[in-house]
Amino acid sequence: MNKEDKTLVKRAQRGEAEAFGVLYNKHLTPIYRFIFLRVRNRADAEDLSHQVFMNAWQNIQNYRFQGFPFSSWLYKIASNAVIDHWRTKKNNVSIDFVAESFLSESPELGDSLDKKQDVKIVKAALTKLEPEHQNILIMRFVNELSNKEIAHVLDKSEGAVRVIQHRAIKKLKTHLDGENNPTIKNA
Amino acid sequence: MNTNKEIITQLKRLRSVEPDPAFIRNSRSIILSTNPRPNRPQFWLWASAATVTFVFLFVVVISQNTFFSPKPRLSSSFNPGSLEKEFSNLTINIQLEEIEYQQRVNQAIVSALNEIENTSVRHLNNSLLKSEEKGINLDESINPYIDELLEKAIF
Repeated sequence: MNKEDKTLVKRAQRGEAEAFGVLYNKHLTPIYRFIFLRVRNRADAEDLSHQVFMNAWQNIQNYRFQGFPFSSWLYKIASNAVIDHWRTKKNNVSIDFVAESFLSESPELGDSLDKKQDVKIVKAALTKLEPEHQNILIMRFVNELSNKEIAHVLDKSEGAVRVIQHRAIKKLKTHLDGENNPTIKNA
Repeated sequence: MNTNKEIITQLKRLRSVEPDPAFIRNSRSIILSTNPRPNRPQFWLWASAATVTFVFLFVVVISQNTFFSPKPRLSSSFNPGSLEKEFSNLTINIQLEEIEYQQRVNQAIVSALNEIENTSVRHLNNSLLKSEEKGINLDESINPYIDELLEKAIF
């Protein structure tokens, strides 16, 4: 674990809210990003992110250093929160439904139209993957977690993570090719 | 066609997804205004405490039974020698009674077998047959074959 994070966690465990505030600032964005890409809705992503960090702060005393970054613990909480979200929500909303607002939300104003279109296509293709594939691709390529850390978060071996990653990219490629080539998509 | 490298590049573009700054401020202040839950003892501490308590109770119960319960007193009139004699006599008596019973049963069986084997009617109790005859009305018989057999038996 990062030395700075370790110190901050120890201080937070002693009750120093300011130390946890620093951890919050550092880790909120990647956790939010992960949740947003999984739930495809800004409001839900904000609620769940808030819930993740509230849980982390409330249970900081029970956190134990196990040789992994503090963020791994946060990703575990986030991953479970997303599962619970879809478990309760799928009765009302289809898991296949993708809001246009999610696809259209463009990260940078300066991006060219082509880039914005590419991002939209990637988002749409990502939503078509299985949850486990989405998790791994987001953690690995969007948030740049190592395979070791991803394996710890998902309770899998590193080997299994690599295999799933390979399959996920292959499937994403199929969907992307379909989006770019309607002939393939409609086949 | 997208290569793997192009796909990864496209995925990396999603890095620019960020939360709203107003949300960050509000969420942070709400979270930090709460207090964390107090540390709960680890499982192994609970397990150790439970084990020690159990062992202590076990020792107390065993010691109660071993050291404090009254021991039964043997009567001074109990004589192991006479007890032994009594038991052996009892055993013999039981065996004798069994033999007598078996003999009676055997005799009954032998008598029954003899009766079955002997087809003549002489061993049947005549007075009994005569008394039964009164209850039989041969004129109202249903099965002539049975009637024939009855005639042979009685007369």
